[in-house]
Amino acid sequence: MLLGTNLTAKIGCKTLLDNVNFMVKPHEVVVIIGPNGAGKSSLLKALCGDIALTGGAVSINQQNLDDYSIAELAQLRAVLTQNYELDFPFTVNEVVDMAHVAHQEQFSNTALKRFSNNAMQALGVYHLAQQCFTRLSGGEKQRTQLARVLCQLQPSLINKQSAYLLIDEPTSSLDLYHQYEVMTQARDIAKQGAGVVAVVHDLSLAASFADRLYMMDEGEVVASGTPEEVLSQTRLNEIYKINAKLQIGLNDTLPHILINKKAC
Amino acid sequence: MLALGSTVISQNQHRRMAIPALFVACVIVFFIALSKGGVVISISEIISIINQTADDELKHAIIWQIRLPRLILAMIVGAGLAACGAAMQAIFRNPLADPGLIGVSSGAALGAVATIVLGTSLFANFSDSLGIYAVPIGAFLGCIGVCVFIYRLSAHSGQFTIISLLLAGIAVNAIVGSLIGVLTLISNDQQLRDLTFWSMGSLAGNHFAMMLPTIALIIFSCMALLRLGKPLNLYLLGEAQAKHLGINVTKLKKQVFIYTALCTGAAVAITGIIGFVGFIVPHIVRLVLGPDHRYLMPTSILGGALLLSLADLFARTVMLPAELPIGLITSAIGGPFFLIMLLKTYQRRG
Repeated sequence: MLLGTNLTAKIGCKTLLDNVNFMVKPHEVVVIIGPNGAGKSSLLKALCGDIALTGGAVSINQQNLDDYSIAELAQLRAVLTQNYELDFPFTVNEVVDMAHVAHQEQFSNTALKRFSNNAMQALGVYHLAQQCFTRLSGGEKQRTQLARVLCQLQPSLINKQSAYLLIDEPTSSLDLYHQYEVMTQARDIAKQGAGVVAVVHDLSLAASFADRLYMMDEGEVVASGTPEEVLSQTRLNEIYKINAKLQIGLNDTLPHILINKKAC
Repeated sequence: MLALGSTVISQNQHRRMAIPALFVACVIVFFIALSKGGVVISISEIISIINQTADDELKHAIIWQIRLPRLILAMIVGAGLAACGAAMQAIFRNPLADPGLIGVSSGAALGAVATIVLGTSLFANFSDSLGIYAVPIGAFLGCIGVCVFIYRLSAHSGQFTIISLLLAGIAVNAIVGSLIGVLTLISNDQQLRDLTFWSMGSLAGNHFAMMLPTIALIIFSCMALLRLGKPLNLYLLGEAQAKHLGINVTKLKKQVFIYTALCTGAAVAITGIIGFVGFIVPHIVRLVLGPDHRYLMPTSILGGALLLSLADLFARTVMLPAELPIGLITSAIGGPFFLIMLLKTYQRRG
């Protein structure tokens, strides 16, 4: 279980997180939503230990985050951030292979190679394996990075360890097909035993794939629970200032946010 | 798809071939450089001189006291500068970076110029007791002093940020530049000549005893940098990403900074400023072999040794009996190369 209790973070006089409680269990997809500046990315960073907390603590599998070494953490959780600074001409295959470093002591090279290939196939970038990463489109880059974190998680999933995947806006530069494809993939990773935490902007996408939602505003969690519970008409109005409601799967469709003609 | 496959195969082949090919090239250049010069010595003579079986006193002296020390210094310094360049380009995540960015060269220049100019007045004790070692030791101390200063500026509250390293480097370079200017202003004619030639770099006039500390420091730093190949690859993904993959990023940055400062400091102290080797060699290697530091590091080391020994061979044979400063040669190759790289980058970005 990945657990954050009473998380508080401040930079100067600005409060990024205010007494946030958060939990994700294996086999579960939890999505963090909220308007711009609500503290979604800060919460995700706090959960990976990337920002210093002024209060509260994060624990993974009942052990405090600070008690793990950097190398141990890399075996327990993978993180996909919003920005990639990679400006050097590595091939897609080389980028995915970078995940090996976390597990190189426990697994043979052939096993590690297989993890890379599986991950590239799962994300549909196997045909790009020998292409130069810097020349890919935005969506291809994102899928490559996702393949890298999937490759990092696979050994833990095979060993039935509780591992976690944290993703910050995985779908921001993807077209509709790949958005749903990536989230399906995240669901699949959860089914294999990982706990998945994702920051997602698109409420319909969040409602379609999340087991539970955390809705944030101004550094606080304002609601958490199933999509139906969280995305109520009043809360959408209060937090997002839009006149909208959640439409739960008619026939064979996924949940969707319907926005009133008088949106605001 | 087929064409794609073949370029990849060729890159893999290049990688496998690069190290032995460069090694052989170094050996060939080694013998050519020993044989060429004012007095031409044949390869068979060189071998018997190295084996101590020849009895030509003059040629023996030329090889053992002039050409061999100089050649070994060229190879070691070239290797060290190229390794540091590769590491700096990785740590700044910018293929145009070079060890000068962190103030190593300017610190060494300040130390050397101060020793030359103030050696007869303020530092008379220092200069007298150390004799010919005064300038190299002054340069090394200057380099370490400036690097420690920049390190302290960049490292605070357990962090070591690259942007503050870069800014501190730029600021300190400017300050040091003005100090050197003041020293130049108060120097006499002989001192001015000495410091000008120092700043153009020279591999001449060193004997083994003087080179030994430099060689030891450079070899030590190169070995250390070689072992950082894999972490440096991950570092290129971004600092947060590398950390999430299990790399201690702060430690990595500090290691690279320290090894680069030691290695470049040791090289600059004894040879003066030799520009562009640290920048061009890793760049060319990256164009041919790709950015993977597990290959980039060793091939840069061999490539640096090869390039600097060739440049020195050219510098001392092209205008016999005079010789060109080595820094002029490397800058003359490096400057145009840098421009071509820039233009190509702009063209590619359209």
